[in-house]
Amino acid sequence: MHYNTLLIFRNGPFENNKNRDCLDIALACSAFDIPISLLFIGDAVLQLTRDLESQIIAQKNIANTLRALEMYDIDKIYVSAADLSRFNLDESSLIVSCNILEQADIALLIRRQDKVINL
Amino acid sequence: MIFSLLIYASNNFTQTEQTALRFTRSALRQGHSVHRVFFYGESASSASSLRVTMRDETDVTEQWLTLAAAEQLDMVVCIAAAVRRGVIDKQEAKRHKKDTANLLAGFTLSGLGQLADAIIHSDRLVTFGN
Repeated sequence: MHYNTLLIFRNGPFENNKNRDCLDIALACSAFDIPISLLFIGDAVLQLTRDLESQIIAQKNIANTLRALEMYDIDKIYVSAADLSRFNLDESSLIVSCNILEQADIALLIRRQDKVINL
Repeated sequence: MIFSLLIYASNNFTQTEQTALRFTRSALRQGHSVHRVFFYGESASSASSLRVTMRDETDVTEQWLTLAAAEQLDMVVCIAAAVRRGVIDKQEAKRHKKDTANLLAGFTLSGLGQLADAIIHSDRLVTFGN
C-alpha cells in the first residue's frame, strides 16, 4: 500500500492552532498504522525547544505529546538545519531526538512520500 | 484516480473552500472519484445551519450540499474542530447539554480516523489550507 505520510509543521508555537491540529493528525494516523514522518521547518523549529512556558499565556503546550510520540511509533522526526541555525539552535536545544536535514535532503524527504499534509 | 480533500481554511477569510469545490467538480467531471471531503480547523464552521450568506454573496456550503447530493460525496467534519466552533449534531448537543443542534444535514461529524481512512483509501490527498 502507498501511504507513507509526511506532516509538515511550519508555524511558530502558540501562533495559531496549526501545530496542534497537525499533531492530532499524526496521532490519528498512527492508530491506523499509517507510517508517519514529521518535518519541522521555519518558525516551527521553535516548537521543539525546551522550556516553552506556555502556562504564562494560559496556553496548552504540545511538548508532552511530542515527547510521547515514540510510544505511538512515530520516531521519524526531521528538522531543517538552516532554520535551526537561523535561531542559533542545535540538537541539544530540542526536546525530542531528530534528524537534522539540509535543504536538498528536505526535498528528497518530501519526494519519497505518498501523502504530504502541510497545514 | 481516487482523491480525498482536506479542507482547513474558513470561508470567512479565504477563497480556499470555493477553490476546493471547483477542484472537486473538475476531478469528477474528468472521471476521477472523490472518496471523502474532510473539513478540519476553521472550515468546520461551514457546516453550521445558523450561518447566513449575504444576498449578493455566494453560498459555498449550499453548493457543496448540492454537489454532495448529486455525486454521493462523503462530507465529514472533524468533531473536535466542530464542537469547539459551536457546530454540533443532536448527539453532541445531548452530550454537552446544549439545547439545540445546528449541523447541516448532508455533513457528518466524526473523528480524525476518517482522515486517516481517507489517506489509506485514496491515491491522492489534496489539502486546501490557507
